[in-house]
Amino acid sequence: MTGVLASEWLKLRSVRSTYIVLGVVVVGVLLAGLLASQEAHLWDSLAPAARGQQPPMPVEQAVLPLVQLCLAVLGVLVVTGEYGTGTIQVSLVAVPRRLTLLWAKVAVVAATALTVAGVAMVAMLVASRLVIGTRPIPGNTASLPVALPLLLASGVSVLVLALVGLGLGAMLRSGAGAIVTVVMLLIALPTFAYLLPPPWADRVGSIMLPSLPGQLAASGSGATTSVAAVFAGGSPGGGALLSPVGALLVMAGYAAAALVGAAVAISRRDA
Amino acid sequence: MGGEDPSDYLTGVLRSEWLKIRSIRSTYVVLAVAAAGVLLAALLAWWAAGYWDGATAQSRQHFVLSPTAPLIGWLAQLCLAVLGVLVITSEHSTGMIRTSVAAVPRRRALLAAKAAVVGAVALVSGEAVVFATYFVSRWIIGGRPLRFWTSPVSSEVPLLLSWGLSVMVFALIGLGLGTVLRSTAAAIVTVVAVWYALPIVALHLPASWGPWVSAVLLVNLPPQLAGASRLSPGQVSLLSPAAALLVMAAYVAVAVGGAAIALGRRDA
Repeated sequence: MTGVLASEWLKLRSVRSTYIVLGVVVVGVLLAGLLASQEAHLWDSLAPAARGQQPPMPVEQAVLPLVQLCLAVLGVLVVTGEYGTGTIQVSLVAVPRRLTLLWAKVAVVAATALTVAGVAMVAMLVASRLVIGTRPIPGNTASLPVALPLLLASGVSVLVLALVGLGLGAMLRSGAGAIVTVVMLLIALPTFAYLLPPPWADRVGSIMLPSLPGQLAASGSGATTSVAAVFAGGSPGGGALLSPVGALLVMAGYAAAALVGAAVAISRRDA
Repeated sequence: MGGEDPSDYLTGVLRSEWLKIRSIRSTYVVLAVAAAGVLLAALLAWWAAGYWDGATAQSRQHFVLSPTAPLIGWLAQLCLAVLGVLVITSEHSTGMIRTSVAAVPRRRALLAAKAAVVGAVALVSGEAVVFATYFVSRWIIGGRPLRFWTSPVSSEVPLLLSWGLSVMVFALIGLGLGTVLRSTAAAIVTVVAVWYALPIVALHLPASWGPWVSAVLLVNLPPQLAGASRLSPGQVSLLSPAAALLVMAAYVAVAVGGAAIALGRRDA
């Protein structure tokens, strides 16, 4: 197993796409800094009475979907990259126990996703607080210990997305198909959920991926940003009906569904 | 090949591209997903109609079912953009591109044929999906006086046509990005950034110029092309229909022009 892990780690380190994905995450961190400076600029330009009117939105939460998408794409490529080039045949000859190969990929992707997400979320929090300074902008005033639960929950959500990406990659074997499916889960379905009639918007919205970190951290809010705002106006809150334990279970459900599907696909089908 | 009529040459290239797009599975998957959007919209309308029938007069006042056709048009933009990406990147990943370029040494003709085929498929399927979504939703809602759902059908036609057209623009952007980046993953992620991330970033830009950025994004061009006065509850239209059409044309020109330069300069 150590050997398989080492080979998967080497593979991840030696493909260019890994560094491009990480580069995009770094751009996301810089974007968070820009967003924070824009928020601070807006704050200074407003009359005191008009301040604090916008809905609270931590800057790092606004960039979270980008980080989620990046690591999901990394998870997809770890599998579909091998199918695209044919390396998968060599990999399976070297490691005939296919589930061992899958779990090694899962371990490497999970460790990378958790590390990258943790570093990126903390970097975005620190950068945005440095830029915003002492201005009490709603959603951006919590100190690191207070913000920690939501940061951790966000990191866990990135892990879930990376595993969903990996699982979809193994099931669909197509980079395009898997990435589009991730986008559907992360963006399109939640947008539909927000547009459902009243009780169902919250019910379905609560189990959508963007709403889960907030519920896991019990921060009392669902998703903070959605393109649904472009269609429906305003900033739909997403659902927030789940307890932290419930949110964790739903997250685990997404990851488990993807990985079980991947395990079945990789052990049943010819490479 | 020297003695042939140039129009025969182009017809041959067009036919080969048409054959390619018809013979790969991903075309049908993409079109099926776009068509599934019609079913999703029907579900949304059915759910809304059920809610309306059971709601009190007071909750009816607050109830809004957003127009479904723009939503599905937005989904179709992504689907057909992915088709545009795959039409070129799948050739790069399988090595088919070398055969294609050997068979059609005039690379711009190859690109033009791909653009024509992708553009035609996207325009037809975009219009079909948007119109089907509208009529199916409208049929389900029937005579219920929901907000956004009472205007005469004829007044909706310009908006529906514009959304269908935007699907074609997005498909050609996908083709351009695929040609320039040569990687399916990179091109699709860039498409997603243009499709999803930019509109959200634009919402957070300064009020002095942010609305102008919003106004030229593809999610907001169809209503402006159709002459709507408002884009969303938060923003008024800034572009005239002619200006919106020009911006759409500029997207196509940049995407296909960039692709022509990239394909002409680099080794396959």
